[in-house]
Amino acid sequence: MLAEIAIAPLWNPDSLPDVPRSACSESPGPLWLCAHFPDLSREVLAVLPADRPAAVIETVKGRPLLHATNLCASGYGLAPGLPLSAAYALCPDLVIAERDPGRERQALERLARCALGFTPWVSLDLAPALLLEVRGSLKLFGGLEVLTSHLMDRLAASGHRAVCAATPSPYASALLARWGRAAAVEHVEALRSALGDLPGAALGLDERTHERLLKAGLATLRDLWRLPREGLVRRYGTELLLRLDRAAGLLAMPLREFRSPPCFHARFELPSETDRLAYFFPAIELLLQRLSDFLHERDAGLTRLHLALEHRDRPPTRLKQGSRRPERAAAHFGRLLHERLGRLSLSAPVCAVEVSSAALVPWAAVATDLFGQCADEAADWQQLLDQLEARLGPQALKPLVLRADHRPELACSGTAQALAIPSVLAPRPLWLLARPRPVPCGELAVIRPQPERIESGWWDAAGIRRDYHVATDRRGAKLWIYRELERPDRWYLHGLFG
Amino acid sequence: MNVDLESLLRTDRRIWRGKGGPKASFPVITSGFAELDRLLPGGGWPCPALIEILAPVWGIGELSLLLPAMRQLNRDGRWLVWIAPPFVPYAPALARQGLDLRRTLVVDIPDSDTDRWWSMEKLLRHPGAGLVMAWPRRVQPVVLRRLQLAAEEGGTIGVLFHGQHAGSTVAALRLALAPAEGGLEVRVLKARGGWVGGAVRLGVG
Repeated sequence: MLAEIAIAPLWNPDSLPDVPRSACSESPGPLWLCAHFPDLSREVLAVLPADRPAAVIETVKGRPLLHATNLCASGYGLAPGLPLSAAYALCPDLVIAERDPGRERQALERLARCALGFTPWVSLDLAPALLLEVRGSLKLFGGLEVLTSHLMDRLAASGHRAVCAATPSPYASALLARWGRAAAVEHVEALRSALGDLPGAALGLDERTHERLLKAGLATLRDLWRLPREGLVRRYGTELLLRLDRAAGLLAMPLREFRSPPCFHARFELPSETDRLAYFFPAIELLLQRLSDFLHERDAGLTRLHLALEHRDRPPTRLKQGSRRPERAAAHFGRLLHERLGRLSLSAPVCAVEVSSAALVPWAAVATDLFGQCADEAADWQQLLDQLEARLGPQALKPLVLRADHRPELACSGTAQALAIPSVLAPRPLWLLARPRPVPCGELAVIRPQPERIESGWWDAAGIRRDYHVATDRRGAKLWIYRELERPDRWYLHGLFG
Repeated sequence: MNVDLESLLRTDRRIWRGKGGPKASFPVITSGFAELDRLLPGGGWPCPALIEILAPVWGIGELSLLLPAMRQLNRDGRWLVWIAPPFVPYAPALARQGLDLRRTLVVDIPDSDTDRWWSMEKLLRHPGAGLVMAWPRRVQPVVLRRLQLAAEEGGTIGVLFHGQHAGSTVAALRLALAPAEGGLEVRVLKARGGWVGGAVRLGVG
């Protein structure tokens, strides 16, 4: 019942073939070029050798199967889809690696950025393939063949083999490219004959439907197109008809556009070489202002930027400037960079400056009061800390940390632990000496004769066995002193009760 | 010529009246020690101000003297900053004294007076800072003046810990500490808006 409702509009003879035909005769519709990367999963794994049998494996339903093989392995009769145990039986010294979808995606995005040089409209929806809308670029490149060969060269230069097919339907292009047919079809009417030879398996239907099609003697797409649509839907479901119509260009396929993540990069060449900060800093301020405009436009902020000072005949001086919270004000980064550059001794005069952004982050606006002052004190404080860090170095700002350790020197160093105050009741000094200092014991008056024994850390290299006392020296300072259990005659000063 | 003596004394700031004058009124925060509050003009630590503390040696209770004020500033959500302290502020002891370690910052400066004063001025000027402490070897009067102005602008307290000798000062308060039997002797050497020379013995340290 459902299927009948779904196909009812498809049967309407008025609405169906009109759209592509009119688009074709008056203004040519879009032309989709698909660049399919059959070996992408293998190419992104640099560990696989080329001169020995190698394969990429993928675990499907708990079973490791071959996903892609190299030429050498194909010689042994290995093909994608073979279980790994069977592959080892055929070729015992097979080199294998697990498939890495993350890296494949990265490679595909890199290739998509390459492809953006050929058209503004690229989609990654039919991975591992790129879909490019190239109708608008044909005139510029001088035809589809030239454009395709340029694109193939460009993709090959980045180390990936591609099969390209171009048709007015994105789905048809993908089917052809996936099946290794480097075809070019300019008009919708020619699509059926170009695709007719493809086996039914190309549609990527589930295993059961595919077997039923084969049993019915429907091996190719041409066989399917010959049958009445109503009967096809009744026997094999709407999904088959949907795919057939997409392939024939009768049904539009929604695709998402790939957008390259925005990244700022600007360079300013100085009129003359200089090593005076006062002369080249205005150029940096100019670039920062442009960066700020760029960020405002995209409603984004930045937590890190890169600055390069170029010299003649020398590698450039590079600086990385971070910020504790996302910022986009030119003045903030300007202050931080000025502070750092003021303390930097340059090896050579600067001839150009370059500012580039690291990853952009969404901007969280800070509430300001009526007079435009920064009302968010916490944000302002973070800016101040950034400024201190820029001038004093990254190691200068130290938070106080607490750790659950009985050894006094380890209770306040390392990474902080989220825990309550240590429950030791014995006195602890407010000042601790970073390194205990030997003291002559004759000058001391011990005021807490009952020692506190700290014996801990035998499990690592910094074990201690000490008796701690509280004493005063002759100038009146209250000291925290100890002696080692092994050497009771020597006293060390470890803290002061400030 | 009918000049009211009382109004003249009240309005003309050039006339200084020793001990008997009216109590100075300026914002203070309590020092946490009743005896010390009675001694200090205004009844506590002057709040946007620079305070100098002279001690013959570290470890006689100079930090304990400030702990109640630190606790109060921490409770108000303000930061405690230690600029180049002579030893390591010991986190477990500070935590046990009720300080908020998440709002405590140690600024480590390797032996540069310029950087020390620059950082201190920046921090004092920021209202998020509550108490900024430094341990200088010597201070130029002009630096003191700048720090005093920065503290007034940010509404913060700056504390400078000195050794025994120190020259003239523009700080709002100068105290001298000495170890005493069972505690600490605090002597007021200079205080803005009040009579000086008093001493008090506190049971801290």
